[in-house]
Amino acid sequence: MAQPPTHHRRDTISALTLLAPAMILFGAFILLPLMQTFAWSLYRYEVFGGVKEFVGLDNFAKLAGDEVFGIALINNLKFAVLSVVLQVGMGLVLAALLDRGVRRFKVVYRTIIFAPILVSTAAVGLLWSLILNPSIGPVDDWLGLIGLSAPRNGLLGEPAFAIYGVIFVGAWQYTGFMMVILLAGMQNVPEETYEAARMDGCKGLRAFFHITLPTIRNVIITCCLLTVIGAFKVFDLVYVLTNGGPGNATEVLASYIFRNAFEFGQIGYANALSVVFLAIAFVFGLIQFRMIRR
Amino acid sequence: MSELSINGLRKSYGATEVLHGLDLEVSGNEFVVFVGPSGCGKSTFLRSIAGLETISGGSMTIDGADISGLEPDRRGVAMVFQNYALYPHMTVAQNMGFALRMAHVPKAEIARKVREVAEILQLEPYLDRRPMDLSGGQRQRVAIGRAIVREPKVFLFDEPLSNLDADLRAHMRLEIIKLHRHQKGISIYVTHDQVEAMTMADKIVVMRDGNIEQVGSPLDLYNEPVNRFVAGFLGTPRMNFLDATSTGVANWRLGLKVGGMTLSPPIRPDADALPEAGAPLSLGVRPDGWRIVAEGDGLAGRVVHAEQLGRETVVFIELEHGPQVAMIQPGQYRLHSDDAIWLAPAPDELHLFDASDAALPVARIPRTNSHN
Amino acid sequence: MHNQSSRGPRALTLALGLAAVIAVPANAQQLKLWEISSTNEGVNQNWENVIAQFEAEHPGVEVVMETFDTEAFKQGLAVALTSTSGPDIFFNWGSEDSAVLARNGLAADVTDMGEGRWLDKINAGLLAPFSVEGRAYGVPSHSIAKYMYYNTAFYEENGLTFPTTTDELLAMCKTVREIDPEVAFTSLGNRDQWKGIHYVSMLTAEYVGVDAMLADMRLQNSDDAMFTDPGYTKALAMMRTMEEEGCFQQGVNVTTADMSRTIFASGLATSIYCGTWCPGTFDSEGLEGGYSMAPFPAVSDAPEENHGYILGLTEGFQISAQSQHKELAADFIDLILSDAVQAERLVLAGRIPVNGAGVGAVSDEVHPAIQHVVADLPNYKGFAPILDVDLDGRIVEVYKRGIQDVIDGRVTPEELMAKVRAEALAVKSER
Repeated sequence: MAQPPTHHRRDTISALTLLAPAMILFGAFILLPLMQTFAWSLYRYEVFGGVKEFVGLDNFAKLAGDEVFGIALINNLKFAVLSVVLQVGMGLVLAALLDRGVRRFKVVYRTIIFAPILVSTAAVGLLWSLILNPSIGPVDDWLGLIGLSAPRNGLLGEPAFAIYGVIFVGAWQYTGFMMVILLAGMQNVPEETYEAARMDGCKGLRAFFHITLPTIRNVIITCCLLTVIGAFKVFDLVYVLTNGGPGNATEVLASYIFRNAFEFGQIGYANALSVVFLAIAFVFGLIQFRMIRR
Repeated sequence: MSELSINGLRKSYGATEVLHGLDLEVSGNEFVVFVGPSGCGKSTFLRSIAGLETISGGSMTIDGADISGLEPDRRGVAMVFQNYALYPHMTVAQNMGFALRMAHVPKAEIARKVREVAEILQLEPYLDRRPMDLSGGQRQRVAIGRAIVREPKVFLFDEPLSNLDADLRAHMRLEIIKLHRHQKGISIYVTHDQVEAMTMADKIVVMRDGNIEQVGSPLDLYNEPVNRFVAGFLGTPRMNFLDATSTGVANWRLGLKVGGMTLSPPIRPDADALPEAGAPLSLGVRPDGWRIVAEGDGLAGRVVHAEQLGRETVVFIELEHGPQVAMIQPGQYRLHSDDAIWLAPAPDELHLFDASDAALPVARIPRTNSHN
Repeated sequence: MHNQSSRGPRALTLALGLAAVIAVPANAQQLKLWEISSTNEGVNQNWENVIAQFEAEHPGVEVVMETFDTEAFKQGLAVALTSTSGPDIFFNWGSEDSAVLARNGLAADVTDMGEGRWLDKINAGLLAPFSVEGRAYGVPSHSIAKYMYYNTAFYEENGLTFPTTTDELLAMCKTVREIDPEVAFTSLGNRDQWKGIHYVSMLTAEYVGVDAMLADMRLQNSDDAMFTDPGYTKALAMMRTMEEEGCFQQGVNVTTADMSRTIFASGLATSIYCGTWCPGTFDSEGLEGGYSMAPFPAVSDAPEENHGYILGLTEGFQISAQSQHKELAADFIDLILSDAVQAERLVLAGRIPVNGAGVGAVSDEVHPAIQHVVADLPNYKGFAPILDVDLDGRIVEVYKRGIQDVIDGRVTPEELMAKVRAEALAVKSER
């Protein structure tokens, strides 16, 4: 039923009044900085020395030829893909086992697997850099037991392996977290649904693929998105494990942006990097949004 | 024609036995209803037949073949769950065809069967919808459709109507009965609602504490309950029970003292082991078994409340020497609270139970003929 | 200030620090001091004493000291100095770190404040590291330097003497491995890259010479000459050689500075190149004085005249150009340079004094290693420059990360120097 126009206008006004605080906060803390980032990405702006001049797309041109940026971007992509496989994949397997496989001591297993997330990333990094250190850590001995030898400089000391080492440690820390989210999703699947499936001749692994996975689809997508965002934001783990080394082998976008802004004082270039970063995040967000709506 | 035969079925959870050796024979196209209070084991019994519970002892056969060790999908049974248990990520058609897909039935065949069943259940317009886009009644029909598609010998229903509102429930009751007639085969239906049991069943199985109390047609059970539990469970309002004392047997009649009233109902000729004089008994009278009598002729009481239903009147009466009882009188009686009233059971309407709650063989004229 | 060259994320600490700054109420007689935080009790005790003494001598003045870890300090300082809530007095390194603030007008000119204050206590020449174009913008309070520490027992038991030249050093690497293949000659923790660039700084000073090196580092050389001295590649090649000869423990580039100290203290390496702040760590890790100190071995194939320098620098204090209490601030700095406070800083905090007048009275209380340094420092011609202190951050980045690659043999010294030179030219062109 159509409302009289006066009511309509009054509704609009009261709606705006209610929305105003949120909109002001959003504007001040998200929209303005965002626009500023876009604006500054077009400047050569250096904190030390006070240089600030408009350079158009020069920063982006420089970025295209920046070797370290390329390494960082590829590392983030590796991080994203492998983290999804390891964290969400392993998380799914563990959650499925705890949901319907294991019958006893579930809480104990769940707690143990979840525990690493409670440890600060700095401590996790220190722990694993000690474990993986070829002079101090026990990895050499462990590998020796199965007839392998670690690279001379350790897993994190070889540019070809180092990023995988970091990804592994990330997975060690976050798989339990993913498992708990996925497990919560799985436990929302009613027992009757599984019983109905059993009556229909579907149980065990088949039930996992035909019932569990499709039912918690949105949870899985959310986990994947969390992991991908985490992989693109990763910074602390790299910092404590390898500090981006050896050489630039484990450089990632976040640390590179940070260094450009706060160590080299190149605010303009750091903003240009941030714009690219934002674009990537936007694309992933869009993909997730599209998938989850169905 | 299928035959389900259950012998000595037992089920334990750890040390606790919940089904104590159940026997049941069902044949032909019977619609069997398991009824009993919650916790009586009726659902466990049903789930044991379905294969969702592993049994601890006894055997189950369908058409002579032992099914007790088989996976649920190999038993020739299908089940309709209380909460429908539809697969939320599948369309109606996919839900209904899932069992066939799992059995690797060719796609065209699945589509044909699903369409056939959808037609019966008038689900054709909804085949491409997801369960969340359907009403409760539609979901229920999909759940039934999913069972029918598999063409089972035995349909199992686990309280399927308990989530529906009263109108829809009455409607679906009829639908299920019609479907049962149409499909042939055995249906086993679990409910705690004795109205559902009475209205739907060819055969009612009354259960209590993991035992079968009585098996029979609804009227057999209503008219000749084997014990006080069955007598009290079927019928609304419930049967009234009054304390009575035996005064001994004479001339095929059992003398009784109830409050200030004496009764001497006839005993069936086949009766043995009758109560001696002085034995405590329980007199059961259904609400429609009371007669209003002249002052001083029966049991004195006062009206607590009268429910005027138009076609009949339900009166709750506080007896002077006994409990509160319910009485149904056909027609309209203008009774008020605190009105004095005198009652007596109609001679053909009384049930007697001994100290162990077993029914005594009171001779009665078949009730179906005596109804006015 | 110990790992003054490691760079990393401490933005949160910085933010919290800045928040704390804002929360302090304005006080007309409040003197705000920024310092690097320390877990050393002696350091903190010394600050309490100095502040108490200053407040007693200046009634009505309150000294507020705020401390930050190194990275937060570095990243927050310039920003704070442009605001109204910055410090009056702040710690800094006698290097490009302090010079850049002077050039940008953030540090006060203290040239004329020294009369009757610190110029009575120290030689004016010591102000040089804090000076720009002949004007002083800060005052040194102490120096730091790097020495080779070695395990006394190991060398004595095996009848060895610590190498004094790089030829001896390379021979010693083999000797140590022959004695115990599990033990390395020296421990290097280059995970965070600054330990490696310190090595390279010392080696480069030997090969290139201090003055030529400083000219390159300050981007004062002509474009065609900048970083072209063959000594740069020789210094890098020496790092690779040491790695190839097994001088270092395994996994140099995955070992942190902390781990490398532990490796030395636990006997898995016979020596370590470490700063004057390190003995405390060795003691607490269980070595308890079982170490001796030696200068970095002279590089055998370097020019004779380049020998005799030690890697190090002076550290001190600057006054904010924005400060409303510059004279009071100068008084405070003068107190730090007084004989008694300099001696107490040596005793409690192990700070090598720039004014040694009071040291004689406390020599019994000073850590033997520090006594050695106090006695030894005057023997050197001067400080060898530290590459990651005086060089532009972007060039340092290329340089120090490249050193990891050079050590592992993935990049040749020539390739790395070409990259460093290219980055230096790029930075210079933008200035």
